[in-house]
Formats: sequence, C-alpha cells, structure tokens
Amino acid sequence: MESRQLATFTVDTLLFGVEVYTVQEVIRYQEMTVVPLAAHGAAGLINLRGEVVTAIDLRTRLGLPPRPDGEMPMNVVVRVNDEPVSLLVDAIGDVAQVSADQFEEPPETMTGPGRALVLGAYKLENQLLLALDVKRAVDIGVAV
Amino acid sequence: MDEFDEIVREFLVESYENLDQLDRDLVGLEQEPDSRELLQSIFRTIHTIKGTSGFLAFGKLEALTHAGEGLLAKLRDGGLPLNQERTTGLLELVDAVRAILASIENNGDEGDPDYTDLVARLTALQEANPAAQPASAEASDAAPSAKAAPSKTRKATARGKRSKAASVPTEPTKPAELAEPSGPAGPSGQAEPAEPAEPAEPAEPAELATALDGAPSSDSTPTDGANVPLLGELLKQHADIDDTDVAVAMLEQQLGDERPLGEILVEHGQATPDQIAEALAAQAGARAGGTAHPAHGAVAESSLRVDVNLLDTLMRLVGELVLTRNQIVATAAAQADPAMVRSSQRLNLLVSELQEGVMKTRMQPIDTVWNKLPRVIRDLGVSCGKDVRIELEGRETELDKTILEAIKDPLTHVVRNAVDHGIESPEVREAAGKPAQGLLTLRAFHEGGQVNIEISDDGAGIDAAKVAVKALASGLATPEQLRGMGPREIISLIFTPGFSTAEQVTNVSGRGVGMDVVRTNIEKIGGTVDVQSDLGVGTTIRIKIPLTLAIIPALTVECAGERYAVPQVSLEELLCVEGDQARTGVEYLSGAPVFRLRGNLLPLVWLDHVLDLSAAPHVEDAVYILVLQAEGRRFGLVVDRVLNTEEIVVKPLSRQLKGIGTYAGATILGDGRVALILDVRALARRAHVVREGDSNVEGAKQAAAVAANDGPEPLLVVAVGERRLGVPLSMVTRLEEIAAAGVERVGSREVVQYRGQLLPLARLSNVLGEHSGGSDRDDDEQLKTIVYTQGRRSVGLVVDAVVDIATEAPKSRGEVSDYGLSGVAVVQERVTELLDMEQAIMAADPRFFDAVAAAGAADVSAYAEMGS
Repeated sequence: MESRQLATFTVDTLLFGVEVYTVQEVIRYQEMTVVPLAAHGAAGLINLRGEVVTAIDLRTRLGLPPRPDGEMPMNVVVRVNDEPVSLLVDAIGDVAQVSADQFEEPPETMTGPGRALVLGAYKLENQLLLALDVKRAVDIGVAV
Repeated sequence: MDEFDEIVREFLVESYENLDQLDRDLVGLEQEPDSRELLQSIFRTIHTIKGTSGFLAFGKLEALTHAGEGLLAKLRDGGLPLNQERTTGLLELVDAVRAILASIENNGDEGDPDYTDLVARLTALQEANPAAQPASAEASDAAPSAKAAPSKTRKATARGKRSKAASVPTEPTKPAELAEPSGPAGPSGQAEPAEPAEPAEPAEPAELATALDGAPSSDSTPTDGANVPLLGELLKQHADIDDTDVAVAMLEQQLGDERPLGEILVEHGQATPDQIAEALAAQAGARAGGTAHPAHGAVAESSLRVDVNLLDTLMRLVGELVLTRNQIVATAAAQADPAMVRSSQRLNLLVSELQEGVMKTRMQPIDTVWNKLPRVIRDLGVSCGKDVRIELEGRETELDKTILEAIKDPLTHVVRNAVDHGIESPEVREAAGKPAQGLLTLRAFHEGGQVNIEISDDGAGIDAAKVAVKALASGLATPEQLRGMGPREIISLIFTPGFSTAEQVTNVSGRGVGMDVVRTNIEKIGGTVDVQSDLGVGTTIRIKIPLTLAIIPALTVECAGERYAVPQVSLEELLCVEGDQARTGVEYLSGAPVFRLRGNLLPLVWLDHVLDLSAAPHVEDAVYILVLQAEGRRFGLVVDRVLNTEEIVVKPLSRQLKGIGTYAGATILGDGRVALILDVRALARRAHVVREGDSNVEGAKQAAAVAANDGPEPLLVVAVGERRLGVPLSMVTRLEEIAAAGVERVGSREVVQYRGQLLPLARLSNVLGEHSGGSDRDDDEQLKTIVYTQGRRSVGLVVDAVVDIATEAPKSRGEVSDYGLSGVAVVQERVTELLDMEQAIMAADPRFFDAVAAAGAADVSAYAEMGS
C-alpha cells in the first residue's frame, strides 16, 4: 500500500498536512513587515537568514477568524516553484504516515473559501487530516 | 572530446577580444593611414586567428584570414596605400570572421556561407592597380594553395626526417617526393602540386630550420607562432608516441586525409583522446603566450581572467556581510562597551572597503561598449552618405558589468538613430550653415551615485509638430491628449511602442521598433531616458543608470509605523517644513495639494494615502517632504519621519508581491527587519503626478517657451471676484503671497518692497472695474500676487485666488471689448476671460515697457494677441 508522510499543523480547529519534502523548515514567530496594497492573505515579509520571504496567513486564506490576540503564529516555510514561502499556522503537529486508502475527496461538511485550498482528507483515527494544496494556498493572486 | 571544446571556447573568447581590438584599430587606421603601429597590431591579430583556425581545422576561417593577412602584409610594408575600399574590405573581413566565430560558437562548425568572393576581393585588393582585378582574382586562387602546400610540407619534412637535417641541398627535393604520391593518378594531378611547391622552395631551408631549431622564421613577423611547439612534438613529450607514428599520420594527412592530426593518431590507437587534448591545450597555451601583444604584455601578467559567476557569488556574499555589518554596528551602538564599539567601527570600515573592492572587480569602463561605436558610425555614415565624426568623453567612466551588457543594445540603437535620423546629409547641413561633417558627442559621467550618458547630435532635431501628426496618424494619441501635452511631452512620444517618424524605412532604422525598446531596456535596470531636442540645432538623449544593481544608497523613512527605503537616485532634496509653514505651506489647486518650493509649485503626495494606510494623526508641527524626481518630473512625498541614509542590498520580492508594482524590492535593515524599497516611478504614477505641466509652473513655462506655435499655451486660471481669468503661463514669473501690511503708496499707486526692489502692484479687481475697493483693507490679509519680471523690472498683479493651471486648449473663443481683456474662452468647461497682460502691466507700472527692450514688448503683445 502506497503511503506518504505529511507534516501536520493546526489552523484554528483544523488539522492540515503538507508533503514532508515540500517543507524547508519550521521556525517560531518572526517579526513581520507589512506590505501595503498586497493582496489579501499576504501577512508580510520576514527575514529568513538574509533572505526576504513572504508570509501567507492561512487563517486569512481559509476564511477563518483572525488569531486571538496574544497568540503568535508559527512559520512553516515551504518551497513552491523553487521559492521559499512561509505559511503562518497556529501550531505545529507531528509527521503523520498516511496511506491512499485513508484518502477521500474534500468532505461535504467543509465549506467556505477553504475548500478550494484542500485536496482532500485523510481519515485518521480520531480526526480528519486535510491535505493542503500548497500551490493554491500561496497563490494569493487567485481569489478563493 | 570535452576538452577539445574547451580549447575551441578559449579560442573564441580570445578571438572575440582580438576582433574588438581590430575594429578599433581599423577605424583608427582610416584616420591615420600611415600608422605602422596600428597596421602591425591588426596584422598580428589576423595572424593569430589564422594560425589557430588552421590548427583547429577551420578551413574557411583560415582561407579568409589568410587573404586578409596577405593584404595587410602589403599595406604594412608600405607597398600599398590604404584607401576606403581597402578599409571596407578589411572591415568586411572582420565581420565575416565574426560570423564564422558565431557559427562555431553556436553550431560547432563554420556554417554555410561561402566567403570565396570576399577572399577573391581581398586578394584583388592586394594589387596596387585595382584595374588588374580579374587577373588578380585568379592569382588569389593560386596564392593560398601555394602557401598552404608548403606549410604542410614543412610539417611533413620536419617529421619525415628522423635524422638531423644534415644537408640543406637535399631538402628541396623532399617536397617533390612527397607530392608525387599525393597526387591522384593522371597528368593534371601531377602538374598541380608541383607548381605551387616551386615558388616555395627558396623558403624551405629557413622553414626547416625553424621547425628543428626553433629559430625565428625569416618570412614571418616577429610574433609569428615560431615559438609554438608543433602538436607532434608535444605528443612525443606527453605520450608514448615516436617520430614514426607522427610521420605516418602526417603523411596520411598529406595524402588527403582531412582530419586533424590528433584524430588520426587516436584512430591508429597511438594516442588517447586525453593525450591529444592535453597536447592541444599545451600548444594553445604556448600560442597565447607567444603571440601576446607586446604592449599588453605587462597587463597580461598583472591581470587574470575570473569567471563572472565567481564574482557574482562574491558580490552576494559581500551583500550579506554588509547587512550583518549594519546589524552589528546597530547593536554595538546600543551598548556602552567601548571595546565593542571600536571593533564594530573597524569592521564597518573594513567591510566598506571590501564592498568597494568587490564592486570594482565587476566594474568595467564604458569604453568596452563604446569602442564598437566608431565602427558602427563609420559604416552607417558610408551607407547613408553622411559624414559623421564621433567624440567620446568620459570613456573611463566605470559601470557594473551586468549594466554594461544591458545598455549595449539600447546605446547602439540610439547612436544609429542619431546618425540615420538626426544628422543631415552634408548638402543639407551646408545649406543650413552648419559644417558638412556632423558631430555626435557621447558623454559619460558620474553624478549622485548614477552614471549619466548623453548622446548629443548637432543634427536637425525633432520636430514636435511632426511627432504629433505622426502620433495622431498612427493612433498613438488622440487630439485631446495631444492638446494636453507640452512639446517636451510630445517629443517623448518617440518612446511609445510602434512609433517612427522616419519618412522612409531604411535598413538602419524606421521600422517602428526601437526607442520604446530602448526605454524598456533602460528602465528594466532602474535607469531613465529622456530626450531634449531643439529644432535645427540637435537632439540630446540622456540616459541615467545606476552604478550597480545589487547595493544602492537609500534613504530610510517612516510612515504609519513602518519603515521604507527610497533610492537616493530619485531624491533631489529633503524639506522639513516647521511651525506656521507646516500649516499654511501646503495649498490646494483644484483639490490637489501643492507646496511652493522657491516659487515653483511642487505637487505633493502623502505616502500613507498612496499606500492606503490608515492615516495616523498627522503631526502638525513639522512636515517632511522628500523632493523626488521620476521621469524628468518632480513631486514631493510626504512621510512621517526621515530616519537615515544607508547602503541597502536590493532583494527581489517574491512572485506573490511582484504584481503590486509600488515596490522596487525589499531589503534587510540594520536591526534585521525587512523594509520595502519604494519604486519612485510607480509612486508618481499612482499619485497621477507624472504629467507634464500639471501644477508645475516651471515645467509648463519651459514647455511654453519651447512650444512656440504648436501646442496650446498653458493658462494660469485665477479668480477675481466671481470672475475666472486666464493668464498665459509664460507671463507668470512667480506666484507670491505678499502681506497687505507691507503695501505702501507712491502717489496713486501701490508698491511693496520685494527682493530689495520696489514692486509696483495692480489689483486686477481695480483694473477690471470689479469694485473700487481698497480702502477697507485687512492688514493681516495675504495678497496673492502674480509676479511678472522682464529684465530687471517686475510688476505684481494681485488676484483673489489662484485656481488652477489649464494645459488643455481653450474650447471656443470669443472677442470682448472690455478694457483689460483680450478675449473670452471656455477653459475646463467654464467661461474664462483672458487677461490682456500688457494693459494689466501698464496699470501697475505705466513705464514698464519703456524701460524694457522693444523686443520684449513685442513679445508681450504677441502673447496678448494669442488670446484674441
């Protein structure tokens, strides 16, 4: 049975996963520089060891309520089209081993803008693990 | 055979360098036909290429350069004069060589074009009398083969003889012996090789001596490849090959095997490809060393070639180091540890020096691009029938390599345009009273961290009216748009895609592509282009480009709590308006904020508005204005705070943010935070200030002055009572606010002390009979005054308000007979009376025009007439 490894993280109450190999690194909250006039979802720019990296807030992208005051997001730096992009998430989870037979199309229960960014769901024992479509998630030019 | 490719590549690099030198030398030679030094240099270059191409088995190249070398040898020895025909032939030779080299570079072979015609022509040119061409053409066929045969024979004899060359007398028979079996059976075959061998005989002993003893050969130049070891010799040293093997292979070559010697040896299993390659490399090395230009010898020893990629890497690393330095300096300054501060200062200095040094490694003088231009101009001049001289000023001005590459094409294009369209033919020039020879001047100089390049011609100039007509015809602008433009703006239309004024399409220019590409390419590297042209006098194209792309000086500012970097390149000055001025200094023209900067109106832009940031409560006691210029226009950018100037490393924005367009990139500041770099041009566009004439008195006036009869004259619209009045902008020297308290009376007239003079005032309301007031004045009032100065005399016209500047043409005009008016028109959809400036000025100072020159007065009435 084909199995894959997903790096997991939570955004609001949802558990997401992305292919482990797309993740470059995970770092704690970094000070961000806001980019005025940028499309909705671009939270700002962070300094990643001398490289300027755009941070995308997944809460905004998924149409979820903003992060409660005082909670700092984590940066999941993924490489998309050979460019690093940081995904702002609430908390980091484990690496999950999933297999194709656990997979299903996006659940009917999922609505809102987030649905377009999800490839599908893996049914874990006690929770659903949503597979994030990273390319679409970082493509903030596209409305969802 | 990768290493063989490597050798070919080396050959290409070296040859290109040589060709550039050659172009320069040839054009120089035409100026100075007797310079033996130049001839010698050209000869050497061609000779080197010939030698190497023969060795690398590029037959066409060899034949071509051989013919050229023959011509050059005759020229050098003083047998032939250099005329234009011969120069052209030699330049064509250079082009052909370039074409072959390009083909080798791209396809690995010499390509299809046949150069036998050119070879024949070059050979024909060797004849003192050009009339004898047909005969010489035949001779040319024989000549190369005669040369080629002995050269092969030379190798063969050198190799063939295993014992020491004991007896010279026996040698002349050698070629004949070898030639005999080489010819195919039949009488013709026998006759052919015998003939060319004959004339070569006398040279034979000397050549043999060369091959054996390494002594200089008698028939060649001192820099001939005499010291270059032959491949066979090298192979004997490097591999287990003995003389017999080489001799056999040479013989096979002799018998018609066209392959290079190395290949034959490999096929025989006597050498491995690696060994051959090694030997070839050794030979190429010896050749390069042996044929180096004597004058360049010293340079060659003190310089070395470095891969540009390595320099790029170094540059990137230094960029990072600069950032780290900034961070450490900032941290150290915050601490009180004197040792730390000292070290950080030292680090600061060292890094600055290192950065400068690394940047210098990438710097090249602009001459590396310019040196191709004399040739371009010469060729163009010949083909267009124009006589053009080029003057280059500031050839040593240095620029980053990548920038040089980027400006090469645009620059060439501009220069070609100048020769093709700008400079007139000699007859036209003489008729216009100019010297028959046109002059093209290129100037390069550093200014404010930028390099300016000016390309000026003394040609016909650009006719704004023609440009307008053309733009209209090709649908690039509507009549309404054109009416709203000043002449300078109209001339700038030449940068619009699809624009060409050339009446005839030539092979040089006029195909409707070009100046727009020039602008695009220059702007791509953060530069600007603009054009200034005086009809009949000439045109100047001004290109401003940054020194380098990677590290730029910038000013950091704060706005709504975030920091932004503004490239210093765009910054003209920094204003801090404090106190009362902060409240009153900013005025509004039809709702657009402006600031009076030394009498000129500067359009203002608030950064927080442009960036759509929640406006923080404005600090009223000080306003910081950055005076920026973009695309030749100025505007003021209002920010909350001005922080610092520092060198910043430009980092590209990620794909997601590139589309915004307001930012030129991002950078990392001393404290590690990211800051956005503002794109001044985009800001100006966002703020809609990039329009000539808009609220820019100075610009509009200049435009009006140049405009003469085409293009509408911009009007300053003022209010007097309920009336709107139009004043020709050319009649407005300055706008002033004068304290009413300062107004004094002289007789029945009002005057005010102004810049150390008495300024006579006229209230337009009085002049126009609006009301007879003036008695119940409020002394706190500020009188809005139009000041007109001619020569040393000025007058002031007091109005109630300055409304706007209208650049569009008045829609309909009518006549009025009222005193003080020259007409009435609809301006900006509203009825506007046109002020008769002459009468208004006379009202303030009846003797104004007596005092100024009659010419000046005529000028004024001309403007007054414009309104009627």
